[in-house]
Amino acid sequence: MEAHAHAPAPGAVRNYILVLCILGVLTFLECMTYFIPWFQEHRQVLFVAISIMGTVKFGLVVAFYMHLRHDAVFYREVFIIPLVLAIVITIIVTMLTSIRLIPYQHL
Amino acid sequence: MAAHATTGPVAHAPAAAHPPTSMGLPHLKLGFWTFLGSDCLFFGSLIATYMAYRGHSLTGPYSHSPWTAPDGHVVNHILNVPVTSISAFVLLVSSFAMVMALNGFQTNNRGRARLWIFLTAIFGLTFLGFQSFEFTEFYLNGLSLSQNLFGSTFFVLTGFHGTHVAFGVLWLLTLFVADLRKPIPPSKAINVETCGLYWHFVDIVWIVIFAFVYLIPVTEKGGF
Repeated sequence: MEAHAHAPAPGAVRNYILVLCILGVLTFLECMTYFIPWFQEHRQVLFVAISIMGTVKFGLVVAFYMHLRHDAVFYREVFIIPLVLAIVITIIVTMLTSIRLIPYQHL
Repeated sequence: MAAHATTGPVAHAPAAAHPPTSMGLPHLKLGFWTFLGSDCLFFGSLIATYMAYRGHSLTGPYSHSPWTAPDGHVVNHILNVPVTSISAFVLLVSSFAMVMALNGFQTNNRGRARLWIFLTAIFGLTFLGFQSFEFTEFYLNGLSLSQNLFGSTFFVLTGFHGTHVAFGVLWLLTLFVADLRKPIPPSKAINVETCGLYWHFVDIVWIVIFAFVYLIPVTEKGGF
């Protein structure tokens, strides 16, 4: 019979602390972009920077805290497929609503 | 390689905790990952709605630009990024506390397990406190669910997230009390792991909300 109870690997706690430190630094950097005028003037750069930092934070939590990096492949599939679908839907809806000839303010 | 094979440094405990399943995976955990996948679509639709209507409010208060109320009261951009950055970090720390609690349950370290699961609940309550403060400030500045498109989409999105956090806090406190009454053995740590998956999911949803709602300013045309 397959045993499903997992015991944490030695050094797991050290990894958890390291991930927390990285998450803290990234959150600080994200917050700093709000106060740096250059980023507010270059919003495309801000969008890319925030997206990258958010994605890294998302990935770290999913991979290390949710243990998806080491867990069964099937869990990845049942989570990542709807996640990708949600991202695609969000992008399509955002793009469709941003392409309009008359802004709502002038209707 | 079998679908249930692990690829990293996760060792199997000697005691079998679950009956064999057709896929070799515990049904509870598989079902919960499936639920989290469906919750991705739920929050995805709410975030998509927010993104679709961002910058389209006919009246203020606005998220990232000033607004003068009919009574002459000027409301600067309503979102408070420094305060929300702290609450976002509190939620990240709660995720750390959750994995420490799970580590305690898996290694049968009762002190560690109880301390960290209690701290996780406290961090969750702290986040809810920040959110209550924020919602109250917004309401006092004239932003309500029915004031404008920003208010409707913002409160629905963050309100549903807050509801998820509140449910998670209840779940954590239930596990804490259950462990005090009868210690949860390592063979049943999957019950804590499931709660942990939910808690981390709530955390990653906030990572996305914080980035796209708070940190990326809205232009007059609703673009980036």
